[in-house]
Amino acid sequence: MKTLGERDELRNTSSRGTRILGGLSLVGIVFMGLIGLWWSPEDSDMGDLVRIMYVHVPSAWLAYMAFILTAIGSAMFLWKRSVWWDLVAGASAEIGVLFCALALVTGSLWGRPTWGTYWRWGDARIVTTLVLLLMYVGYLALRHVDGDPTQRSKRAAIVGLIAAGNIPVVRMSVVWWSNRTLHQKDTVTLADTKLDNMQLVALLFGVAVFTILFAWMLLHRFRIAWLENETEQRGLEQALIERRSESLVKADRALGAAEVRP
Amino acid sequence: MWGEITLVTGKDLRIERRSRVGLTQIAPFAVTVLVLFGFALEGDSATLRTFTAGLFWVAVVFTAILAVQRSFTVESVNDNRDALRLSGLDPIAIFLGKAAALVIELLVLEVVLGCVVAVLYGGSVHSAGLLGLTAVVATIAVASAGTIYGVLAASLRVRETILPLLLLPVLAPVLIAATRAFEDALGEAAVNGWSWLVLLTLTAVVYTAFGALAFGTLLEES
Amino acid sequence: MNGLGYIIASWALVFGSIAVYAVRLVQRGRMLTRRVPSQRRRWMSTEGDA
Repeated sequence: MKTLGERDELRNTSSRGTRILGGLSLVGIVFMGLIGLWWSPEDSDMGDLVRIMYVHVPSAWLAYMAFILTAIGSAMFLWKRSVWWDLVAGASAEIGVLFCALALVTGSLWGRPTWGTYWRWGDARIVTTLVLLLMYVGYLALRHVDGDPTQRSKRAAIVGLIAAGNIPVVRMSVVWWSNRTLHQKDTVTLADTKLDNMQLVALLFGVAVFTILFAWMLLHRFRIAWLENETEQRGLEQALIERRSESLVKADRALGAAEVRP
Repeated sequence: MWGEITLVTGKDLRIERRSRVGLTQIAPFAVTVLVLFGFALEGDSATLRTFTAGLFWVAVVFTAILAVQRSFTVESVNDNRDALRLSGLDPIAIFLGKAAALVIELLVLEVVLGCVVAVLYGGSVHSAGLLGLTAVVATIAVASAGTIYGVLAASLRVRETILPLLLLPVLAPVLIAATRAFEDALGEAAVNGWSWLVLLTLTAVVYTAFGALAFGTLLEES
Repeated sequence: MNGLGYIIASWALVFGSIAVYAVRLVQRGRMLTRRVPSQRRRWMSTEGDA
């Protein structure tokens, strides 16, 4: 199989696939703006504020999709012990954290004019999402800790699985805790007749565009993670060679200096 | 299996009894936290009484972080971790043993804190059964989650800072459920504490089962 | 249009963040590609033998 790396002109992490996905995302984002800000009517209840939903819902969708992929990657790593899956999990989590934060912020920006406050503790969905965000911030922090790569992957995989497994528990406890959920009921359901056709189009189109965008980001982020993994390993190999060529005394001194701990 | 669990539990508890770190450092810290809550929320007001359950569990969860760190600090000296790994003990037994030791330590701590809360914050117990069961089940959940993250962070140079970041969000459901159940048991809020206890039990079972399965993977070297 | 400021802020924030993140991704990719020999850029291989 001819791999991407064999092409000499390759100077970045893009490929034909990512260029197509990137182009589609760009065009899609332009149309998201046209549909969401111009072509779609205002909502009978929310007024123009419904337009925040057209970026809020796709962001939240992307975040949850990314976290689910992180869980799948974590489980697959523990099963197959393949670096590939570990890198997928890590790449996906970083994108997930970004969009989870964006979903929370846009949710707050919608809440301020709607509820009068940026934050409602009574809203189970945003509280759950915040706890989720904190869990994955911890996950990313853990991935950034130096150490043996295999150990690091294993730790990350287990934390990734616990975080995903905790989503229903957090959700259930927060729902019970808040008693009264002020959030919009799931906005897109077949039984829901409140949404205008064009509003539904705007929401679903946004979700589709963000799915493509996620694929584009994931491919790039994954390749970066792969390259980082390679440079790290090359660095280790190089260090080993240098270590061997040095005298034992020097090596011992270097080791002592490197291992100064608080 | 049972023998191995009690062996590990006994070892941890013996270390604790002899070193007295729990008694001389961790318990006073927990009491200090409760006193600080009193200052933050204006002592003699009704506020303190209303939030007794929540403050109690926040204090327990913060203190649990110290206890978890302590539980794995004793393993890091003299390469004890390697000794544990090479001892031939079933990793599941090591996990359950260490978690059980943590449960016992935390329960003792909770009794002490409970007495302090009763004196400093006031209030009365409506359902002692619910109170006791909630404390035991919530402590199992905290100890199990703590033991997984404890071993996970133990070998890291940044363990002191990363452990709370990883552990606290995971313990959020436990904190919510235990607080609500306590509120019912103390007669402070009209909620059904027993249904919260069910959720708490579910959490404890899931964390313990997952921890038992994951512990072996985390303990082994690469 | 009611809440215009909030709507503009939401859209600007979301697409601004996406733009910044995308640019950073491409830049990081360029920088790292230079440091890894081409025969070791086989990121499409699904085996964990790296």
